[in-house]
Amino acid sequence: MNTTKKVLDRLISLQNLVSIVLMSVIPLMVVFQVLLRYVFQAPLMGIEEIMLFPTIWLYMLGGAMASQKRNHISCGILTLYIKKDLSMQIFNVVKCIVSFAVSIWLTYWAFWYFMYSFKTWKHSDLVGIPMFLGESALFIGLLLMTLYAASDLFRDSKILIKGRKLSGEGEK
Amino acid sequence: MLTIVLIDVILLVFLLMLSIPLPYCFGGALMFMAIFGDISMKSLMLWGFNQMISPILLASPLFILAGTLMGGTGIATNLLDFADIFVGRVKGGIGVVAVTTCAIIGAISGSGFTGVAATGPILIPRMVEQGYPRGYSTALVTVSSVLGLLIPPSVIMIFYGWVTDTSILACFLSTVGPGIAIVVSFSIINMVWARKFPDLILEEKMAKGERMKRSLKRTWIAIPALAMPFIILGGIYGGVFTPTEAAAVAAVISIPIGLWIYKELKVDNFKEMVSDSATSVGAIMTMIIFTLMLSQTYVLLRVPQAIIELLFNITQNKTILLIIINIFLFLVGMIVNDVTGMILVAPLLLPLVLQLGISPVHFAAIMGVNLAMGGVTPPYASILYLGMRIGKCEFHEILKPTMVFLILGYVPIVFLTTFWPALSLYLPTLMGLA
Repeated sequence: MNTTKKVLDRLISLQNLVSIVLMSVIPLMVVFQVLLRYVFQAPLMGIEEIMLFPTIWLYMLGGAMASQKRNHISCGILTLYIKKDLSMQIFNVVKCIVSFAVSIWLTYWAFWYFMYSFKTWKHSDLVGIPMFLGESALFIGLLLMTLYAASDLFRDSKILIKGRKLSGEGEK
Repeated sequence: MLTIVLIDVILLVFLLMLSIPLPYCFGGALMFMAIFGDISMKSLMLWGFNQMISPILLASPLFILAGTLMGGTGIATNLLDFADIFVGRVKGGIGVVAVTTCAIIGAISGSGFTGVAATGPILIPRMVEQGYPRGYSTALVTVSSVLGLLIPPSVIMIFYGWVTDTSILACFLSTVGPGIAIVVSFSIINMVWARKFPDLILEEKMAKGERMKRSLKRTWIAIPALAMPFIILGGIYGGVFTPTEAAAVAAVISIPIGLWIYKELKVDNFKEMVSDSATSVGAIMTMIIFTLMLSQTYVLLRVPQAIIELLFNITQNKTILLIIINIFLFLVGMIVNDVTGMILVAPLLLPLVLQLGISPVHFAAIMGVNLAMGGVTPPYASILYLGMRIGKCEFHEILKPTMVFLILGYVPIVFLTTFWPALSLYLPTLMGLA
């Protein structure tokens, strides 16, 4: 159990670090190109194409971070009307089950795309970087999102079971 | 096939109501369409990835970063102090400061959250100290924050231009007129309302010389913050930057301003802000991927054509149809966020409005004002909830003032935008963009 937690913590730290680097590098690359174009009048060919790779990784790793921090946007109408703790716990488990199921299905298709990209092994037009390096982000990001959805489901189920046990003991 | 689409929409609303994270709501609706709607997921995956790598889309993450950095670099505080010079001693003046500052911040950040996130923590306590009710102060700052989506550059306009293939620069300008009209209407309502608060504490009168000295000092300090909208908008309309580049420039410029001029940015909070931005970017972009794919399934199943037929069977009266479109957009804004609403609905409604003889640029403004309002209309009222958290006030305290500002100050502008095209088309036409 401890090992799992350790691995997960390391994964989260790595994901956080890479996201911070990507989020810092992308605007710098854009501004660098603007400077090259207007100040030095010598724009770098293919910089937009290179930028595509950190960008798609940022989107997907950011998505995984939002899942891990439970920071995804949600509408939350019904939660306003649920007052009882137990009802809320059941509600949370149902929510996690649906999220997890959808996430698995999306990851399945992202895996199909991952394999397709690997088999076709296309290269970017100008710089010739294998597109797989960017396209694989879709699968990795969704895989991480599924992992965090599973972890949420596990945690909320545990809270529900624990809560029910406690209320059962209280009734006795 | 349309029955399948209808069931899918019902499923989507159900998932949204369950408060399932948005990427999974749209992913779930997409799953239903792939299973029952005869949609090829393989081609949709290929299409979706190609859409995601569009350079135009990168503007949104960069504006998110710029907005987050602005909140922590002291830019907002100095803009507030600057605006306060002009109306600080007038009854209700601080309310006008709130509205104006949110509009100026909108000219830097492009998002609806930045106004309340950057000015709320400073302005709301300051208003409460001066005797304004907490609910009123929070409501005013929160509804004014919506201006971030209307004053260019605006992220939702980038998305509209992208999905409908309309000039983004023209779309930016289309919401300037409505945005200014909202600044005026909110300021008037605030000035009138402020007279009803009996215990307002106004700034003490100062000697003319002292006042002048303070104004000059505040203006001097605010110059870097005031220069930002000029650099960004001047860069975009001067043809120096694309909107994406402008967003990157805004983010990068705010770093030296925060580090060396205002000295509020530290390495630790910089790391935290960048990490928060990356999380927000991920939350928005993963949602966009699946919204886009879902929207595409509807387009493939010819839903836009079905909407046209359905509505034209009900009525062919342009005024009634426009009212129906406004109500529909308002309802969409109530249940999903602005970007999602834009991506999901713009491709579906554009063919209809084109048949009504409305230009895509005018429709950009109509969609913009309607969906921007969604951020403060429950149940999906992300800007309102954020405002409540920042203002430390309860829903019942903020509800009445919010509704008054919306009904008296915002809704009339929505109708004005819809039925008076010049309000949104004047500037784009003047610039030769529409």
